[in-house]
Amino acid sequence: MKKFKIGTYRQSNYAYTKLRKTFGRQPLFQIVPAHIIDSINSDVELHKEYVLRNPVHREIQATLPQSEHDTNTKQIVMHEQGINHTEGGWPRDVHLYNEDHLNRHRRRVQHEDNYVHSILNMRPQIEHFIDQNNAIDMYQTYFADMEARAPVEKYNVQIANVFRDPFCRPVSSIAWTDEKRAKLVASYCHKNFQESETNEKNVCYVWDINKQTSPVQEFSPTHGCWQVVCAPLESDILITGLVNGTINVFDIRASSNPVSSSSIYNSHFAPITALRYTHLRTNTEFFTGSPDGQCLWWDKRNLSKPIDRLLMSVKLEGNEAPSFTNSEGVSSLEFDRGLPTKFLCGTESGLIINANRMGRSHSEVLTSYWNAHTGLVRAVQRSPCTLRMFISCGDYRVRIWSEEVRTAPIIVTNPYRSEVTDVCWAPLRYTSYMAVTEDGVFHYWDLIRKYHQPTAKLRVSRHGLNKLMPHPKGQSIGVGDNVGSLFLLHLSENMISSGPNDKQLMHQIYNRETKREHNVDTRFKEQRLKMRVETEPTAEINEDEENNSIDDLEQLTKEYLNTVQEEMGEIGGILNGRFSLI
Amino acid sequence: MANEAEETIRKLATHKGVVGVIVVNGEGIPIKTTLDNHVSVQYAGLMSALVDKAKSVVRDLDPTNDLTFLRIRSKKSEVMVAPDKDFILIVVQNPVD
Repeated sequence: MKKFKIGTYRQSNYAYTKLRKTFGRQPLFQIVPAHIIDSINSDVELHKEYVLRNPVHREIQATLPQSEHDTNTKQIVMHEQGINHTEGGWPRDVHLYNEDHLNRHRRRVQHEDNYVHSILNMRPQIEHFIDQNNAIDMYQTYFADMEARAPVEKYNVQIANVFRDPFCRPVSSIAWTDEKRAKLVASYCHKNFQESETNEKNVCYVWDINKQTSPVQEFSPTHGCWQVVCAPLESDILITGLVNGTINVFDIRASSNPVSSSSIYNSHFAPITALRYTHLRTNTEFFTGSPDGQCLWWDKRNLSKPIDRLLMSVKLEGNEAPSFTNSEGVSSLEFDRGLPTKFLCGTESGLIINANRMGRSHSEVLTSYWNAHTGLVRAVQRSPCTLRMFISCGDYRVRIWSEEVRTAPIIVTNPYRSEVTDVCWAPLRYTSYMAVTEDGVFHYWDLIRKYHQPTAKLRVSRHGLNKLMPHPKGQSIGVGDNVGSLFLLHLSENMISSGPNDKQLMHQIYNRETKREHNVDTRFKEQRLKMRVETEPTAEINEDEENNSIDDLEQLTKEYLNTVQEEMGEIGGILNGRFSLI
Repeated sequence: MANEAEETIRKLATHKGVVGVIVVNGEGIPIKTTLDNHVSVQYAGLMSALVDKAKSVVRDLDPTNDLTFLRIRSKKSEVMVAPDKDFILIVVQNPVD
């Protein structure tokens, strides 16, 4: 083994020789006792390049650096203490308890110029007010004992809400449900007699008056629905009259399809134009009318066939039996609980028929009729004030009739500019009625306060209005138009309830007008009788001269007709249009 | 001059219904009064504060405005206060009904 240089610490080599023939041999290890191969001593020279360092204590912790700092407001010490202040303001040299000082100070102030000047300035003002107080008592409540005057009536009709039919069908009927928060039921149908449009939707809606966007419920009659009525006391049962003459009964709670319906063979032959509940304690009977000329009575529980039927034939000649050929088509019905055995029927030919169900023969049942309108009678309704007075509308006019007067309406108003489609009395206010017309205007009349024109008019829609139904409490009114919009109108307070004397005044008007008509009638009859009596003796005298008698007779008839015409002209002038209350 | 002031006060006090007249200076001391001391001091102290408040109300609402007169009507009497630059004149009157 070669010796190598001590001191070159970095490098250390160990060189050895190995015979070539021993290359690749397996190394054979031997256990050899420990022996020092090399030892490196420290170099003292290097010591001089280093200096001893001061011992350092250092604590180390592996966390984020954090610090803490607190503040506080300056403390204000508060202390509660009372002050007894009796008198103050005196200058420092004047003592409070020294009367002399006080007086002296006072006198000194009084002698100042300023003081005197101020007093003299303030004097006139204060004297004025003292005198004023002595003269009148300014602060009394004036007019305390004046009575309050009655508030001025302001009529106001506003559209509260609009409910639109998504299919834009005209409104065919409106009804209010009989519950505390009443809902509006509306049926929509194009009123064509041919049921050709099979793609017409028949769905009808129940609207919550506060929710405008979508109906609360829907129900779908099998065919187009022309009339809908809500059951009294039960708000979920609806009865609908359809375009094919059948009835559908719905229970809204159950489903939107009819619960029961009448068979087409036992129902009307034409669309149902009127549907009304009749008086019965069980609230199950109703009757319907239709242009086929008959009225059918039904029981809601069993719709297989009607309970009763009545042919509305009034113009019977001699011994003609009532049949479908001579009956009048029914366009509206009216039934009032106050007269349970009678009802009114408006026909397509413009008659209003007064019917009594308790009659024994056909002519007793259909007691009398009036020639009401030139077109079909669109609505008939008895007045809530007097049951013997009823209102009807049709063509361009609205007329009020009395049951006792057969010849003419007792109250008429000027004809409207367009057709009147529906009319009804205000439910709680005896003197008012409402009408809707084809030009989209809602009219509200008050017969006592203004009789030449409506007290309130509102242009509700651009299209014609065709149905009107007030809520029984009178405040809200549902009005339907020709494109399916259902308007909810609100009336102001004074249009809902009656004034104190309204009922009396209305009765007076009724009595007066009926009497007037009676008087006119009797006068007419007298005139006619007089005419007839006068012409008879002249006819007898001319019997001998037959040649001249014919000419004379003709002349006399002509004269007679002329005088009758004159009389009619005079009296008719009062009848046409205007009437005076006094 | 001082006599005139005295005269004025006396005249005011003899008007119908007037209970008393008090003149109060800027510091709140009753300078001249026709009522007794105790009552005058009360009126003086209370009225000064109220007049200052009223004046500040009027001036705050409209700086160009100023208080001209103050009347306090109570059930039993009416207190009328005429404010001036340095003094205030208080008159207590009973309503004559």
